[in-house]
Amino acid sequence: MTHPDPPAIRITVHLHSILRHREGRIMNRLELDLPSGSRIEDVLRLLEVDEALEPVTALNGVIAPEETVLSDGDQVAVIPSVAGG
Amino acid sequence: MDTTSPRVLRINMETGEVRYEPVPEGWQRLGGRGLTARFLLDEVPPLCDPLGPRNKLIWAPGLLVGHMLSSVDRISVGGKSPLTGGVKEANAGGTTGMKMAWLRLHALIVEGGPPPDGSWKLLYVNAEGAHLEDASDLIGLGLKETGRRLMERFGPKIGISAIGTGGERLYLTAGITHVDSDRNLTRISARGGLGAVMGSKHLKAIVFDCPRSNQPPVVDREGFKDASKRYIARLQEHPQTSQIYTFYGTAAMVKMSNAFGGIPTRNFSAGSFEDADKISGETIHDLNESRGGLVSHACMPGCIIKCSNVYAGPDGQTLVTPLEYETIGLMGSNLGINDPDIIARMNDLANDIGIDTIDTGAALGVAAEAGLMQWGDGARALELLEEVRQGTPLGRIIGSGAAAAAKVLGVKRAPVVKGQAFSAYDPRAIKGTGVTYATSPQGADHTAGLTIRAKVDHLDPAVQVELSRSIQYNTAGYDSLGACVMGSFGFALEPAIVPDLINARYGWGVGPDFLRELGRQTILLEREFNRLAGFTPADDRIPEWMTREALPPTGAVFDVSPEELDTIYDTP
Repeated sequence: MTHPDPPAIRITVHLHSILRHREGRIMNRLELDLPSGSRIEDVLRLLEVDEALEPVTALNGVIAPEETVLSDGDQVAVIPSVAGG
Repeated sequence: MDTTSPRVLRINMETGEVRYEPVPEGWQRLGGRGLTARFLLDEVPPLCDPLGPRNKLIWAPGLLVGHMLSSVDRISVGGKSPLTGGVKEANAGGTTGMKMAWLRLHALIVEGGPPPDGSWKLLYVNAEGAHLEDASDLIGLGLKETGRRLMERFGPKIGISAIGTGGERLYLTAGITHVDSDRNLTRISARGGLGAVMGSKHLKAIVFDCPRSNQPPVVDREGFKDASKRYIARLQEHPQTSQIYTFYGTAAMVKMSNAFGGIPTRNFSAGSFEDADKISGETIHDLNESRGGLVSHACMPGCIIKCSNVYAGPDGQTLVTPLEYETIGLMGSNLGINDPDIIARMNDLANDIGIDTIDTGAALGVAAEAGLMQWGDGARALELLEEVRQGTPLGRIIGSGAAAAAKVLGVKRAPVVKGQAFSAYDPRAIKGTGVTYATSPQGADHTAGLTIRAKVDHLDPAVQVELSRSIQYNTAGYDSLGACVMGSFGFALEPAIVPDLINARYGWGVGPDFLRELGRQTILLEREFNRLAGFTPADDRIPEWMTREALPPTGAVFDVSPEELDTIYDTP
């Protein structure tokens, strides 16, 4: 996926549980090019993540709120909320 | 015999007497966990020896059990815990609750000491009556062989509650195991050592022989049907119960817990495991599917969520059913083990011995810290579990759980409250669940009130007590209905469903506060039993080392105020 607005950043999104099921196959991660200044919430919007999943988002392995601004090379994890084990 | 009214079946193991009684008035509106709490206060001396003749065990199906309503057929087993010294209720899925409801058993009570001649018994129950039989041929057997022989003897459609060798040997990690909907004897009322109580009375198994459906009567059939329909629709609406747990099971929790820095790692010395990907729900799903295992499986007959699984090994043969998050956390990351097949084999072994994988995994973590195994050494972990099976001195220490193992092995960092091990959420990173661990009369137990899904800052100590209190009340309510935590997602979407179901089933005319109030009253009864058993505020604390030792990567300590912990149940 590309975005026309330079300067761009490239990030990796790690998808979890049912979010991996995209376009008829399992996709554990994908790379996104975004305009600089993009936030985690922009990623959720771009990927059309269902709000009902109440996703937990992490940046480079640490929980981060959706308004966090992203940098080039960031690793973003999107994990549907669950409870009960 | 009147087989239409609910009854209490009471068995005295010492005298051999088996008798049916009417349900006492004060018990008629209680079921599941609520009934276990009332029963303990009514019948069990709080200061009794948990493994002595004055302790009793109760089996109590929840109030809505018996209708094959999805995720609402759980059985509660209660007694005084030899692990915590306090109140204990351990509930499980499987078919025991349903069979008891079909046999119109409101409760089954086992009391007294072992038979004077030292023999072991099994209890056989069907619609005509109940009697004790000799069980000497089953002694020393694991649960797989026990289940096989019982089904050979009484037919494949029986319900079973049984102990393995762990219960026979009075291990404090021993649970009571029930048959699932596919005849696997693997659904365990795991926590608190109730299997040891059953073993102390020389009762190896209970057989519930009721092959045909005999659902309990319903006062308002149409109303019940309507509320059930709405409940199922809500379960189908909620992504956790209609998709995530159906395909990934509770193992979906690995990545979330790891992201919060709360997955137990190397005896709770870190909250993030570098190999979390290798033991994640996603990895287990893909591996299991490629090997021909079942990624989705119902432990109770009517369940539509099917969060259980049947995990296959590399040869396609079943390694264990089910493989769940708590076990992955305590027997995986907590030991530095990153191989799902090793965790599955450990789980299977624990199931056969009939012991709690949480407390046993935590005890192995303590043993590793004491130098008895290297972190990540799966072969050694299996060897240690084999010692538990064989009953060697070291095996008995591990089988006694994390608290006892830490004392014997000289490990200061015991991950326990009230002598019971933490589940797979570090209380420093998920502080609301830490509050539950500290304050629940049950001892450290996520099933008493798991807060990880709440949209709060899990590191902020100020918001955790209110959160935990609310979830604890509701959870104790669900535990009294016989509802699984998974079912609560459907109920929470439309709170009127629970009172509607209760009113249609019993005609009690309960209001919207029914669930929370049922739960709150249950917890207050449990707390009263503990107070009479000698518990003080000192028992409602997270271990002191967790208030000082910062947990990587968040650097969090447990810092919820003790004053708030002490007054948590003062608020309705």
